[in-house]
Amino acid sequence: MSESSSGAGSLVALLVFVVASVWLGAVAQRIVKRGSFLRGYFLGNRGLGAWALALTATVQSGGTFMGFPSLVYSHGWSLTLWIASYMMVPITGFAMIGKRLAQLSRRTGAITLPDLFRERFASPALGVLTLILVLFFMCFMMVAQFKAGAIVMKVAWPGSGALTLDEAAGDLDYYYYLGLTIFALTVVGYTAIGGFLAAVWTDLFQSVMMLVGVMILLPLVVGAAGGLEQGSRIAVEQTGPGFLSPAGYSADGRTFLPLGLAFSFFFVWVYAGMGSPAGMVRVMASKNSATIRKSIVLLAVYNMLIYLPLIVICICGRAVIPDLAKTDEIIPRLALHTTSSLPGGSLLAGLILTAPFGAVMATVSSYLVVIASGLVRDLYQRFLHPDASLAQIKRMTYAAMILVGVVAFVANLRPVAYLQALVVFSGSGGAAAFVVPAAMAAYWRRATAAGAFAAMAGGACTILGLYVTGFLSADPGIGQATVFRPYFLLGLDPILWGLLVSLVAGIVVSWLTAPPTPELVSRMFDAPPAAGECLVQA
Amino acid sequence: MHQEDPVVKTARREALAALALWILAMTYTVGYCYLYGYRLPPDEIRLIVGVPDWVLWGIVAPWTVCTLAAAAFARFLSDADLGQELDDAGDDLFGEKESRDE
Repeated sequence: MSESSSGAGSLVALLVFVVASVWLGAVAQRIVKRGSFLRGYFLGNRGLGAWALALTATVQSGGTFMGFPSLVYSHGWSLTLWIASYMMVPITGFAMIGKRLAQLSRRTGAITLPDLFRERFASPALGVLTLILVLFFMCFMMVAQFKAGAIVMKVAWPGSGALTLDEAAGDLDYYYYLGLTIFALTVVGYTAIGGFLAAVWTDLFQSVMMLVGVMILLPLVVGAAGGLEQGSRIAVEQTGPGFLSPAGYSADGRTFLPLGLAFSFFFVWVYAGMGSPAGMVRVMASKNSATIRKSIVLLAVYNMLIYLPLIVICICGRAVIPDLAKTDEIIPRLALHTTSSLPGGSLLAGLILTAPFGAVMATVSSYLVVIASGLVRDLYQRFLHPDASLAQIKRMTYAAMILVGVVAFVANLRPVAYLQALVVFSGSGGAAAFVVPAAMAAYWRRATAAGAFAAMAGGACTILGLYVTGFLSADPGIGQATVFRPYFLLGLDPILWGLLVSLVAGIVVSWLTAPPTPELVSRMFDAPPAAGECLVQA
Repeated sequence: MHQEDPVVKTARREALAALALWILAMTYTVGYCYLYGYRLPPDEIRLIVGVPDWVLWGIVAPWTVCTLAAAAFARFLSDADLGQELDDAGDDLFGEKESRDE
């Protein structure tokens, strides 16, 4: 079994996958053409069904397939506790603000998140702040995802040294740049063609492929390790007893997950899922409330089938490939390693490799849509050129996507370490900035524009401040080993402090400022006149 | 004076229920993992078919319950008319433009 034949099969599968995504983009474009351009292009005409909403609206970033497995490989069973709050994400992600968000966005005609806050509180300033924060946090996420895409492409490439475990050559070689280029062209291409629907459909397609990939990989890797029992034991021998503990094993002796952080991560995933601008926009695009209900069930089953098996795979992966220096590559390498001796294994490896590639493409395309919609709708159309024609708006939309793609490409010429740290940073930032204002918008009649502004700014500044402080101060020896680490005030993740500051600021400033006009509140909260009659009938 | 939209009321109630479930899940899982995981020296952790016992009872078990709870919760949620799109609203910047262009 030569390396290059393995790579060739994988490459074929990857290319098929890329073609399928571009085809979905083209189909989406035909549908977008039927209705209003902006609402079609950026919101799919509010027609998302349950499957699309469930499998694409909460955090399923490339992090799932790159950063997360890398952490399991490095720290062990502790990651089950780290990720445990995903058990609640289906319920909290859709039931806490989903229905009201969908309703408010219809009442206000909002297409983007800045639109929504601006209209709900009748405050252009709030719209601008939302725009700035969305762009800021999403750009970090995008940059991380491009690196992940490039790595998967590189590992699949024939002759890139895919099965060698010697990492001395480093990652900045010809294959990395080739992977990065192909990745950038594909994802920007199909997203620009089909907009929001292209992003959602390829996301759905890719989410299903991820599940298929995990389901194929699970028996292969567990088998290669000689069963989970043996895999677990060998992994412990490779590392130490800490591999079994909730605090986690670390080669350099740090404590990966002290109790305070375990508690914090119950906030991180739940509120990062809820506060993600890409997720909120998808809830706004959902067809009706039955869709939201079905999504809860679908996502619950999906999450259970993805995360727990992934952990088992990576624990056994530690036994199968013991000394991986670049732990980000664990899943692609396991795929190539376990299929290399099977008949048709090269295509199978390709199929499994499409999973992480798909996850990354999906995330990037959904962020591209959100960032471009912000630039076009909330910046260009609102401020720079309110009289822009349809043709100008379309041109700006494509230009914005290409611009974002170029920025992400350039940023990845010298890639950053630790994808997952970036994912956690932007997830926490989005949560601290948007969750409290969204809840105020949805449920609190007395909430004022100034209050929402204070909540948003307070939360975002807290996260930013704690990350800058962490960057400048000494390594506390807990959490992930990375220079991009926050300051853990009282041993807790910044997201708790961000949410707390946001909540207090929102309530206090709302009470200190004049109440919103009764007309505005009534338009957002009260039954429309015609619905009063329906009530009597009910 | 005002007649609050029933969708707002049910949504508020459902949000509180989801919040309560989240607090419950967090208390159980973090609590269990503290008692039977963090407090033990790592070499005393038992493996059950290759899985540390704190993972099995502190995470896999509640995760299963939460998946079932999600199904039940989805049935408990009420359906609602989410309202009509503001197609002709003046604040929909685009609505006017499109009719002019096409």
